[in-house]
Amino acid sequence: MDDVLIVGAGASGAAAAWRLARAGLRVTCLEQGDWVSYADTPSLHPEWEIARQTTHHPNPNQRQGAADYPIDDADAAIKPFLYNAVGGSTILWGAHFPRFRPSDFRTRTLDGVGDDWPITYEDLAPFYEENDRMMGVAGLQGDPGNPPRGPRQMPPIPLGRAGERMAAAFDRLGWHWWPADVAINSIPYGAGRGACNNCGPCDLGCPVKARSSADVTYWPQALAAGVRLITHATAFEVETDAQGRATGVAYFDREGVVQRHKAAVVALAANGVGTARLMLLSTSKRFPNGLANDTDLVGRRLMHHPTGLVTARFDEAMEGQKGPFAVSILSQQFYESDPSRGFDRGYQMQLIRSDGPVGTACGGYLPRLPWGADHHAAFRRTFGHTASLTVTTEDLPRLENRVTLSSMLTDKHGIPAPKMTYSLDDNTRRMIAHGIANASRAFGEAGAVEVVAQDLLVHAGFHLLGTACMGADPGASVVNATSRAHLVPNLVILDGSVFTTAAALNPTSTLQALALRAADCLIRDRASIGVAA
Amino acid sequence: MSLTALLDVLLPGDGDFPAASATTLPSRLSAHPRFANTVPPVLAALSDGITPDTVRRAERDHPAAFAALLTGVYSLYYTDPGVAAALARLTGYQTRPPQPEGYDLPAFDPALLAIPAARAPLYRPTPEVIDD
Ligand SMILES: Cc1cc2nc3c(=O)[nH]c(=O)nc-3n(C[C@H](O)[C@H](O)[C@H](O)COP(=O)(O)OP(=O)(O)OC[C@H]3O[C@@H](n4cnc5c(N)ncnc54)[C@H](O)[C@@H]3O)c2cc1C
Repeated sequence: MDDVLIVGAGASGAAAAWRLARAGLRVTCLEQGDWVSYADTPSLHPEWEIARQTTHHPNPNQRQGAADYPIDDADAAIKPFLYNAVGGSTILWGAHFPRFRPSDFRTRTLDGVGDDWPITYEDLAPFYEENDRMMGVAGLQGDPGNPPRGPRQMPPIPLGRAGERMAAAFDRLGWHWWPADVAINSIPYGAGRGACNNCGPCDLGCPVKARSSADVTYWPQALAAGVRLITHATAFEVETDAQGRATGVAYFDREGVVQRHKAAVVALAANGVGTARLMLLSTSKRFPNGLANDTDLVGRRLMHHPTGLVTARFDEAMEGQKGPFAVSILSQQFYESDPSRGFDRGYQMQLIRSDGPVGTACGGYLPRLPWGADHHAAFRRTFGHTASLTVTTEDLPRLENRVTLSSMLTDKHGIPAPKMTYSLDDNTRRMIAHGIANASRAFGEAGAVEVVAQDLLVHAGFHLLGTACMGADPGASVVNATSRAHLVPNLVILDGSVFTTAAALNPTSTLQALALRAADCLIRDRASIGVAA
Repeated sequence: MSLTALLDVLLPGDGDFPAASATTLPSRLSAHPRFANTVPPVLAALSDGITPDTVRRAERDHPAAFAALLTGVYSLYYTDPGVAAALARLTGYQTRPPQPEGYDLPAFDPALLAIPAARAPLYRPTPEVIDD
């Protein structure tokens, strides 16, 4: 029997699998997707941009790949973005790699909103460092916006014209900015991984393996450490004994045949939607409402990072198609709370480069270009002349934002799909409005000739958090400070489901650090954990 | 025939760019595995003829179907070799795929950080430290 059975081979599952196997544990990982090939990525083909509308569309409902399950998002103000493969959603990701700030773990104490985490920034700091080393981070120490951290593995990636221009504008405004920490090789780092050649579309696969997706960072080392990875394995139930302890996982194999895999400990890493779905599917006499769900908190408190977007047009060409599309510099000037602003908590702004011709026409950073007589002039004005700032806000946890099981949709095996129910609150709307005003001001300072704001990016649900939250109180949370379920001692949750609050920045370095910490706690506490007979 | 007329209403061309009908768009759209089926629902809404006004009405009455068609139309128009050549002439944009060549960019210049690095800490520290 395995010591640990992990469901999901994405960012968090890969990190924990590596750590546990290195400690000598017998680890198997079930992944419903397959390995991604880098020999023939879309970015090598003239029609590369079309892949974003088809095979590489970030919304599984649009992409409809063989490994994808549908997500009922009819009642979700923000639509889900994720990927199902070895490497998980990091197959598509932009590789922003910021850390939470200390105050992000203490929102209740400091600001009277959300909940405090049962751990601190200091608890997580060594795991951030270890994760940085495994993923490889390009950036620079010395950011006054964050506590000191170890030397970055590589120098920052090039800022590009827009980055340099915006840096100067932020300086004139007296606002914080810093080159983003990114999990992209600015110089070769890691076995078989080259340096970024600034091609642009990281989301379409990086044949150089410069962008650190989990399949090229953790997985080769996890396999070398002895992890057994079973692909095309779709879990549909965590099985339990009469006491409610996990005994293993039932899954469909690549032939669609049901298999049952036993393990002393089950660890879920299927992301904030997939893990909640699996827990809700896992009903039993002991857990009629879903696994470890006596509190009815599983699936609730779903958080994203609601994002406003401001795109500026400059007279000069910005050449934004050069350089990793999502990353350059960021400003955390408005990150910490300030009651005089009229909202709780804060936001960061990240500078984004720009689209190729198809993306320019179809819209995204800007609304879709008009068709008809005005189309060609609009295209000429826009293409290659823009840069965008995100307004990435903190989403406070609310019980009504949740993942449940859909009564309308099922996956290819007939298993209920997850349903996302999600709306924004007024605090978030006020925060986005504040951020849009400031991003517009910054672009004005930089000499933009036109600024267009989008109040909310509906198609931007990349960060799926909070649906099995961490807390000290078993009555008000699903997992404890070591990421183990309060009610099921041998169930560990590794992904962003455990986030108590969401902070206002990209979550992956934090959820991987948490996964490494959960693995270390498991290694330490293993002997005393009650496993099924 | 009606497809070509529709595409020319959407992308009529001008001095710089070719009209849709002068590109590979009509044939590639009709054969595209993902986009071909976006055409019939919009054509079905255009039984009164194809003019900018009737197309605008179709867009208003069938926004989702129209948006799906337009995604395909723009995707295939801007990947047409003739359109790509026009774009290269006009902007200097290299219309080759981004890989394997990538692009050159000047390396990050640490001198840019003189002002931001001199700022006082901007973050609030942990108010206390709790042990597990
Ligand atoms: C387009 C895009 C851009 C992004 N950019 C950034 C960024 O710049 N910075 C950042 O921090 N984050 C970014 N993210 C988010 C980031 O990718 C995720 O936070 C991260 O991958 C989550 O890790 P995870 O382990 O929780 O889940 P995932 O990486 O999503 O992995 C979950 C895995 O579980 C598998 N799985 C699910 N259900 C089952 C089942 N029932 N049986 C078997 N396997 C299952 C899935 O197939 C998947 O492979 C981005 C995401 C997207 C989509």
